[in-house]
Amino acid sequence: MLRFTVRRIASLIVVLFALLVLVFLISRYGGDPVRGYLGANASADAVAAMRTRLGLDQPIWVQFADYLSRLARLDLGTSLATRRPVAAELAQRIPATAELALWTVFFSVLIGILLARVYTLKSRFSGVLRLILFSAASAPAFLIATGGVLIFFVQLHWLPVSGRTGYGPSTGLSGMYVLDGLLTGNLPYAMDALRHLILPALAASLGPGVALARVLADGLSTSLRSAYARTARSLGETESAVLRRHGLRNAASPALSLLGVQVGMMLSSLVVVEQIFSWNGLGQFLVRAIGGADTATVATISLLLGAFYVVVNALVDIALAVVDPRVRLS
Amino acid sequence: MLRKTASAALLTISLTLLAACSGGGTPGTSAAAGDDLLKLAFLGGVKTPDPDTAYDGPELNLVNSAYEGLVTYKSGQDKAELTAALATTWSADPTNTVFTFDLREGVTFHDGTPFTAAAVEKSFQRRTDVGEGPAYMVGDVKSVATPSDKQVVITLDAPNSAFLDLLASPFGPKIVSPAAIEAHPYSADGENWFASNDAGTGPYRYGTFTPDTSYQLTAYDGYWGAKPGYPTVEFSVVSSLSTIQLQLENGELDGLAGYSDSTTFTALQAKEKLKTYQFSSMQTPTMFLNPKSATLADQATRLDLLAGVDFTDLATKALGAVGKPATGVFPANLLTGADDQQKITHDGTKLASLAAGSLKSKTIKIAYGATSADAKNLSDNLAAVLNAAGITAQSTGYALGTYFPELEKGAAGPDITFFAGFPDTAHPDAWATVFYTPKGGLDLFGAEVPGLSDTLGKARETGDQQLYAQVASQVSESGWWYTVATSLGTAVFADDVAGVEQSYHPVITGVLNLAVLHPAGA
Repeated sequence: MLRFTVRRIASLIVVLFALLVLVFLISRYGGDPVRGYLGANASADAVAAMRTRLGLDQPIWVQFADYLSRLARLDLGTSLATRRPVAAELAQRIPATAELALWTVFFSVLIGILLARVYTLKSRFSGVLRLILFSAASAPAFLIATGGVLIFFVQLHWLPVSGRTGYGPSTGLSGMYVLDGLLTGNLPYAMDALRHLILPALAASLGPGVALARVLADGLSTSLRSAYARTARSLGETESAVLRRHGLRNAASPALSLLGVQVGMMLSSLVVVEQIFSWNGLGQFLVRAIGGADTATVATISLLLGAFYVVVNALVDIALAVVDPRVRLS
Repeated sequence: MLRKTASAALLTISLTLLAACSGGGTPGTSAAAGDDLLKLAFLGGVKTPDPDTAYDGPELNLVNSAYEGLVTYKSGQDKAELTAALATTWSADPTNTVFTFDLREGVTFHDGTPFTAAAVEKSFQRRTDVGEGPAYMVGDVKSVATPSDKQVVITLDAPNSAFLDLLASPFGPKIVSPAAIEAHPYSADGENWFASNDAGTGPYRYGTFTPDTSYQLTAYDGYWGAKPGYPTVEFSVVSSLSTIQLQLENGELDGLAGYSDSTTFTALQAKEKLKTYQFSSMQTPTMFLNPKSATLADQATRLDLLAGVDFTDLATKALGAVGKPATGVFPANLLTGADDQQKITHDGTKLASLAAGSLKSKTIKIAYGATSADAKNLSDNLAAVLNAAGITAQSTGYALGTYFPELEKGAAGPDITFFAGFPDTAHPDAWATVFYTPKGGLDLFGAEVPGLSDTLGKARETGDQQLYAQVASQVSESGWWYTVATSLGTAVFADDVAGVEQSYHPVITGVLNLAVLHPAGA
């Protein structure tokens, strides 16, 4: 198990370094950030002076070495897109994205479990529901988000469509507004933050939720019809025990694998969802940095998102190895 | 087991949705709504509102509400007219080199520091020290003398008839509390105190700023002038124009200054409870032709191409409700009509001749910056006009970071580009030097008219309008630039917000004098 974990961590470092090189090179050749930084009316002299000050007149490998050296000292520099220290931006935005991501995973799992149950129903209604949810799962997150806005904001006036709260930033420690509201005993604040969360989290979670449900339902259905389940029943185990000991354990493996992949893919849909709902997280920061050709910031955010993706998948692999001995052996 | 889990999940989701939706209506802000709070929006985000780095546009709604310069322009009129701000009177010597300002009495900065002449000197020095885009406005200042607490005498290195206009520019030097300058030295690489705090004298002070989320302005009780109409103004940062449109219609926002494209603006014109406004501005969508272009370097071809395009029709179709065709060379209201005449006359037969002649089998590459809707629409429409006439043309958009490098490719770059620029201030020099001389910064293809820089140099010293009229003629006859349109500033406000007509800036779009807005009937 230890060797397995060490191997995963080593490959993680290699993957992240390759990602860093790739993103830095691509985004550096993506343009010149100086005009965006100074303002379009900047004089030719001001542009040239700023290019020198920012080191953009240096060869690309010098710029990359400088970036790596600063990164090693945890000096993330100043964002050319927002003119604020990147560290301050990340401190503000990571909790925002983390909160949205956690709620998205939470909704995905809930939807997954709910639908797994719906799939097993034999009524006419379940067929209609399945059709609707399949259609929803086929729709991209931005379409679901737009539909949600039209229904819950424009028509029903139930939910807001912009920002994280109407009460200003949280004074709590975590930067996750719902949690902060609960921890500080400010229930109206927590509820308002939750209202702001629902549409973006649902928009990002519907697709992964349905996908998860299908895998979970298929897995359960197969394992409950298997020979070992029949044997367990014949030995007098209750249906509930068969489900818990044999069904879920076997069905969990593909569902967990899928969840790992879905969490990674969810990050890309969160970039879109954050844009639609003016959610001030990493996705919005990434879009601004790309628009401003802010190479170092793009590389840093990509590194973070990449690290998150790789870490989640490594954790899933480890979890799978714990749940399923065949993974360890392979 | 599964049934129980699913039931619990269903219950959780139902409770979450029920609880979240039970508030009824979308939540308001913590500040009091109604006549005390004006809710506006920024689209996408704004640059840091430091008075000495702000050089973009939208962030000036914050900067110019909290800071003041020595002089400014009257808001709410097309013609730019200097008016008093922190200086009550001013004069220039006959050579336009020495400028004397008498300063306003009884002014305090938001940190309580009294306003004196020393603050002017310190503020000019800060702008130079920060050294960013707008620093050039004080670049020629040789000395700032303070004969008394209430008078400053500014001496320039060389005569400059545009100096007072540079001081009045929306980006012009603002006077900052010397105590704050000393306490919070500027650092390009660290957290900038001035990004979220202010130390000006304006009618508003910076309230709670959550960068890229919301920015709040609160009225300054000790302001020397008229009290602002709204005690609090709050800007939310919204990523999408469609969302802003919905929020305006739902009453979640009170107004929007700028940003609107023609489609959105026209859609909002039809909405009840909203009033739309169109203002003149000096933003001037202009066509630039590449002097290194294999097809357009030839002057006869170039002038025939310009004559062949019906620019009035092009501007009308491309810009719709947010622009109007230009008649002169300089931005609107900078020169008198007689001094500012386009020399190229439209001739509808020219394009067909070019298609059969010098542009046969050639492709005209038209570029635009993808962030500019005006430039995109003009490029696309011109490509359509040329293709319809038998001249192959391609319109291509470039992201901000790649647009300028693309234009620097010389013969390998595009043949034509459209750019909706504006002068930093209401002086012909601020337009002509920047756009028509290679050293200016926005002479996008580096085109040069022999003798033009010298003429502009003389005009800058004296402010002689006849010299600028000469520049207009030379520019027009060269065919390297064609002034296509004047952008209209747009604003959309709830019908219970008044004072919008008095708030617009004569130079740039999207920046309002927020202090003159007030609840209707108040």
